[in-house]
Amino acid sequence: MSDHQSVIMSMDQKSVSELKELLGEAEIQVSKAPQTGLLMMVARDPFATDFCLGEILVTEAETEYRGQRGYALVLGEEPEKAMLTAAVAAIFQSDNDALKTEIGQFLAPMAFRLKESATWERRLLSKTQVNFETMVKG
Amino acid sequence: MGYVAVKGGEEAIAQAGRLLAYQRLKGTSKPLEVVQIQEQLYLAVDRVMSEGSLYAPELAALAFKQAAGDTLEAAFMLRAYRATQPRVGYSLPQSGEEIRIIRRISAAFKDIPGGQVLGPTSDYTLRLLDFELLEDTPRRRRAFMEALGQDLVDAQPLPLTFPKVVDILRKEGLLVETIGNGGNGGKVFDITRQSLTFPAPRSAALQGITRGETGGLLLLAYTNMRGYGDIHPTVGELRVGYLPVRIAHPHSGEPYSIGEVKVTEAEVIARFNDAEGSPKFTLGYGLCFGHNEIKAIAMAVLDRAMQSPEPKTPSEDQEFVLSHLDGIDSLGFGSHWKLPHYVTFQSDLDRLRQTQEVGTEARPGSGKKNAI
Repeated sequence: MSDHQSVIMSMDQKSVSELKELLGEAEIQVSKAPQTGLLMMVARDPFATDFCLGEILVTEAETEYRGQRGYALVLGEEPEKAMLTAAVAAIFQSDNDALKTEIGQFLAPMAFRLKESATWERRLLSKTQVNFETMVKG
Repeated sequence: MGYVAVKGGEEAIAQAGRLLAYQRLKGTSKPLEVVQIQEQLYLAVDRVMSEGSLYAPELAALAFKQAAGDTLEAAFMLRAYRATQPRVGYSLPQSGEEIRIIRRISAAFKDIPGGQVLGPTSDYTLRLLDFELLEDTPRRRRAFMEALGQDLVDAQPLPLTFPKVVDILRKEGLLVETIGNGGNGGKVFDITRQSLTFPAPRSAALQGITRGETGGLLLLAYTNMRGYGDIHPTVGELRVGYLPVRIAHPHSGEPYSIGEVKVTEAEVIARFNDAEGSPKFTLGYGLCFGHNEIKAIAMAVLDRAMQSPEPKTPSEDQEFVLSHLDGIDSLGFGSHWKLPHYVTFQSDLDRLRQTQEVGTEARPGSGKKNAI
């Protein structure tokens, strides 16, 4: 998942509104309106057998910005976030460096917090690492 | 005997549905928010997603609420929901090696590459009621979180991924490799799109078990473990964590990661003697949505049991196992007996009365002629 997508997916409603406002002036065309659907997750077992693990609810959207296409497939029923992800993907392929910088600056603090939170959880987990001692008759 | 439908009763049925909701509402407690179920009853949500075969935490929590805690009914609702959605496509295949680990243990080896990570578990604690939960206040939660975060500065973050334990056996040539995707032209079998026939290819069997009902899986696996079968499993590795979901990007064709799903993976090792009588190890494999360790282990035991060349017990019989594991199938069949069977039962009743009548006539001393 791109950093942009993971940050957008973690946003609360207030941040979603702020990002929408930030993109408000950009002429983003909707090529494919957000639509929910099912993605079949394929897993691979230790003997290289691929099998269907089950379906995942996803939302798909597609946009266009200055001739560049942006595609998004996100987990869950998330039409707003799918549209934002697709819009940001299209913008980051365009030549509008000013807008890219603005978006980058908007997302950066959230990306930092997300990373910090993940690291904190990984520290918590590392404290459960164990080395059991085998009991031997003395 | 066929089922004869009935009609009518619409008002009573509608009222019965309302009464079901009333049972949930008539108490004095605050309304249960779906997000509370999703966050605090996460194991139930995971179970519903796994048995419903649809990864959708919010909807699974909603179904759990609507079903008043009945996981079978909730899984049924998820399955019904999925029937309303179009299929976007298939993900790229993802191996358990890429699971972002939150828990990873081995019962086979004490020292494993990367070490054992207990993660969140109640395995080593007593199942005693925690009466403090009766007063689960925000203040207590804050205090708990503060205590949890102490002394973390020196702790190194856990690595994201770990090597597979079973590779130790592979390197020594002690593991018998299982047949791969044979039986479906090497393609992945999808039982939601193709009718299952027996013997089923391995991909179909794994899909059939992973969406199975946890209790049913455990029951069948338990019969094997207790002696109605040959599997004495050792958990080579058990993993809980997050598996990345990737698709081929529709524009570039490059792998595109869309997120990750929580899964549990189990690899059980079982010994057997080959045709020459030499001992070897084989592997049973289990992988399911959500954090559901006993389901993954039972799945792995059954996967290994179904590899028996000459099935002798139900758990070794692929057709028996795969035909009886689906919770929605068995719930539906079991529940349909509650529906009116008036005509079919009346027919049974008529036949029984007729048989008794004929029997009475035929009995010596009844004064009637034997009709047979």
